[in-house]
Amino acid sequence: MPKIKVPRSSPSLDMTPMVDLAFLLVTFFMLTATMRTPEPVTVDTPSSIDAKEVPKNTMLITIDTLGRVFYNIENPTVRRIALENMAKRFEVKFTEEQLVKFSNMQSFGVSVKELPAYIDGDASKRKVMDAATKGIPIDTADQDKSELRFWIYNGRLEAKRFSDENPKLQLKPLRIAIKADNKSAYKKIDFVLDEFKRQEIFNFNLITNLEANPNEKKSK
Amino acid sequence: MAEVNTGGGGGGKHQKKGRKSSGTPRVDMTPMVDLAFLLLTFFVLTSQLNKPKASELIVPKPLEKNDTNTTKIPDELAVTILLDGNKGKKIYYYEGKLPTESGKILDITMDPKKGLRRYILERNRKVIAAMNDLRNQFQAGKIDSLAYDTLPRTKKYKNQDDAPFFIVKWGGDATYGDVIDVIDELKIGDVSRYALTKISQPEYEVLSVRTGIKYKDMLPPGTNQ
Repeated sequence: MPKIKVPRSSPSLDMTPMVDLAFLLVTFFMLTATMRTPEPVTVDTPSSIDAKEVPKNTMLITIDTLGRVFYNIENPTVRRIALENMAKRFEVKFTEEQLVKFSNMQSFGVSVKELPAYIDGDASKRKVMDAATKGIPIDTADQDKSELRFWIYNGRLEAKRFSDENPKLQLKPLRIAIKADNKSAYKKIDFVLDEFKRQEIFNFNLITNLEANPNEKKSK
Repeated sequence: MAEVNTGGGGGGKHQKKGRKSSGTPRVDMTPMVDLAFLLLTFFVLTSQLNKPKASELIVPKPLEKNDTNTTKIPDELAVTILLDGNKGKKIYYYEGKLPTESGKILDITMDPKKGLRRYILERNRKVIAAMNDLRNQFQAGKIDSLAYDTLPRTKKYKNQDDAPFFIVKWGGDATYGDVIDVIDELKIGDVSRYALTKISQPEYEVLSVRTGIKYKDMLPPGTNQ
C-alpha cells in the first residue's frame, strides 16, 4: 500500500468570509445599539405600551427599590453651574478639578457634603459609596435642607439660562423624567412628585420598557 | 503571525529580492478576524438593544382655593381603583360613591383576558369603538398623523361626555410597578380621563375589612385623617 502523504505545513484556511461576517455583525451592532450609560444602581423599569423615544436634554431622577433618589442632568455645562450653585448654598468647597470631573459624570445619589469624596474616588470607591448612600437627601419637614429640591431648581434654572444664552444650539426645553424600579414603593416616588408639584412641574416622563400594544395587534 | 505571504507558496521568506511574485498576494486574515471579533464582543456587551421608552404623565395642577371652575364627576361615571400592594394579585375597585358596607367593594385580577382589562373594555366600550374606527381610518390613510394625534382628545373620542372617569388611589404598600400596570391598562383601554391620588382613610377602613390588613399599618404618610 502506498503511504499516505501527510502535508507538513498546517492547512491554510481562507478567512475572508469570516472577516466579512464578523464586520457585518460589528456594523450591525454599532448602528442599532446605543451605549449603556454607567449607572450607580440597576433599575428594572416597568413595561408600558408607550413607544415614544426618551427625549433629549433631560433631567433624570432615578428611584431604586430601596426608595433612594439619584439625580442626573445631561448637559455638562449646566451640571457644572448647578453644582457651583449647590456648593454655595450648602457651603461645600469644590476645586476646579472636581468641578470639571463632575461635569462629565453620570447619575449620582450622595449628598453635597459627600460629593467631593465621591468625585475624587475611583470606580470601586464610588461603588462602595453608591451601596452605602441613602440617596439625595429629601427633607419633608425642612424644605431648606431638601437637597433634591435645590438640585431640581438649579438644574431647571441653569438649563433655561443655557438655552437662552446659546440660541444657535436650538435646544429643546428641558424634559424631566422619572426612572423607578418595579418594586419601588410608590410612596417614595410620591415624595419626588410632591416636589415636582411644589415647583410646578405638571408634565413629565416616566421611563419604561416597551410592551406590545394589544390594540395595534388587533387592527393589523 | 503578522507576516504577509506573497506568491501563494510557503517560501515567502526565502524569495529572492526583486523577483515579482505571480498571482494575487495572500494576506493572512487571522489578526483581522481577531480584531473584528474583539470589536463585536465589545459592542455586544456595552450596548443595550431594547432602548428604554418614555411614557408621559400629566398631573393636574393643585386647585386654587377660590377656583370654582372644577368639574364634578357624576357618580355613575366614577370608578375608583384601590391599590394596596397587590396582595394575592388582586386589586379592588368600586363604582360611584364609597359604599358604607364593604360588600360593594369588588376585587378584580390583572389577568389580561378576564381581569381589569376586560372590565375597562366593557365600561369604556363606546370610546374604544370610536377609537378603533379612528385607528382604522388612520391605517387606511384617510386622516393624517396630526389629526390622529389631536382628535382622540376631543369630545367625539376619548372625552365623550358619558365616558367613565377612573380614579386610581394608591396605599402605603403599593409599588411603582402596580401603579404603572394599572395606568397602562387604562391606556390600553383608551381611557384618558383618569387621576392618580393617595388613598383616603374611609377607603382604607373599608378595604381593611375586605383584605384583613390593618389600615393603620398601611396608611401612606401625610394622609388626611
